[in-house]
Amino acid sequence: MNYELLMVDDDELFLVLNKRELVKSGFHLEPKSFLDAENALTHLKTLDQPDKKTLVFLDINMPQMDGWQFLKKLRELNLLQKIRHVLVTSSTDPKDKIIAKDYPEIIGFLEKPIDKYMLKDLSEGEAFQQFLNT
Amino acid sequence: MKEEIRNSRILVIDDQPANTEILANLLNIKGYTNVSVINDSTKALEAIAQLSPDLLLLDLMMPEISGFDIMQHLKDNGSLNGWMEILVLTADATRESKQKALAGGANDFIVKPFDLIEVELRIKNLLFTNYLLKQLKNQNQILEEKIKERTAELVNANQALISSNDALREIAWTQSHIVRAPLARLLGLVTLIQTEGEDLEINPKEILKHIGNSATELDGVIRDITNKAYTANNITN
Repeated sequence: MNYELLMVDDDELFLVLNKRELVKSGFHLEPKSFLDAENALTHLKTLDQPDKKTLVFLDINMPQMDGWQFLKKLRELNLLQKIRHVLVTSSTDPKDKIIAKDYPEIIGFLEKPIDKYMLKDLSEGEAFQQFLNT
Repeated sequence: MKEEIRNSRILVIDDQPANTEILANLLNIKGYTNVSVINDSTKALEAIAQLSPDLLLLDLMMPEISGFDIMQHLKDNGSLNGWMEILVLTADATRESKQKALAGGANDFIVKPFDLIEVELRIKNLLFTNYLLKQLKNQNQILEEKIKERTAELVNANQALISSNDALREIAWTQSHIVRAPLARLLGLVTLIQTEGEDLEINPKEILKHIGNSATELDGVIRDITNKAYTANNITN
């Protein structure tokens, strides 16, 4: 894999289930799990490979720092342009889709539990292919 | 005679004092209380503007400013609005003259010398028509106000419905979102068991614990929705 995949979700069960699906489907072999956005942010800040592409599977509804605050923080740190995001939520709020228009770095929406068909659609999508080829 | 008709504002315009005197006396005798007289037709327009009469008794043939001139002027400045009746007084009984007067804005005419019974009947008829027209206008105004009030009420009610509909949509969305989280966990776990079969990476007891927790969470959410629906029904009933 020529990119790093982070999963950020406050629900440990989803981290386990999603990781299993990602690995089993061959979408990514070593996804990293983060139970809170703050830790994921710290990890992104300390990455010593600035050219390494990163994809984040991001939950929106989380305590302390939610998905939107996480994205805002990344924008402030000027890290956003190197990273692409897929929003992974229990149900997609139409309001989230509207807010997402502000973030061209968001390349997809997935509803939990994710399965191989969703991952196949995502990997075949234009936005994801662009991410791979940049 | 109705008091409103008896108190109608009547203005008599004739350059001959003898005529205005006859008419004023007749009107007084018949019980009309609000009669004004003008012999100088140059002051007619000013008097009309000031008095705003319900009925104008107007001589056609007058020096300087004729009855036709006065009607034309009223027509030009928009004063012939249908709320002032004009009864023209004319010695010229020709068909052309009558037609010209009626076309100029007069509602009726009386031929000189006056037949006092006819004069009184025509005045009475015109004032009655004027009274009915004004009643109708008032009623229309009241109706229009009521319609405006009712429309405003409907707009408010509609706004309230839109707001409560939005609120309900928001509640429905929030509830479905809350329901979806434990349900998504259950679906994920079911898929896990189905696809892994005997080779489960996770301890089955652990899976059962998660299934139990998600089911309990789901049960709690659904009970909460039921309670809210019950409360809402009680309020609306």
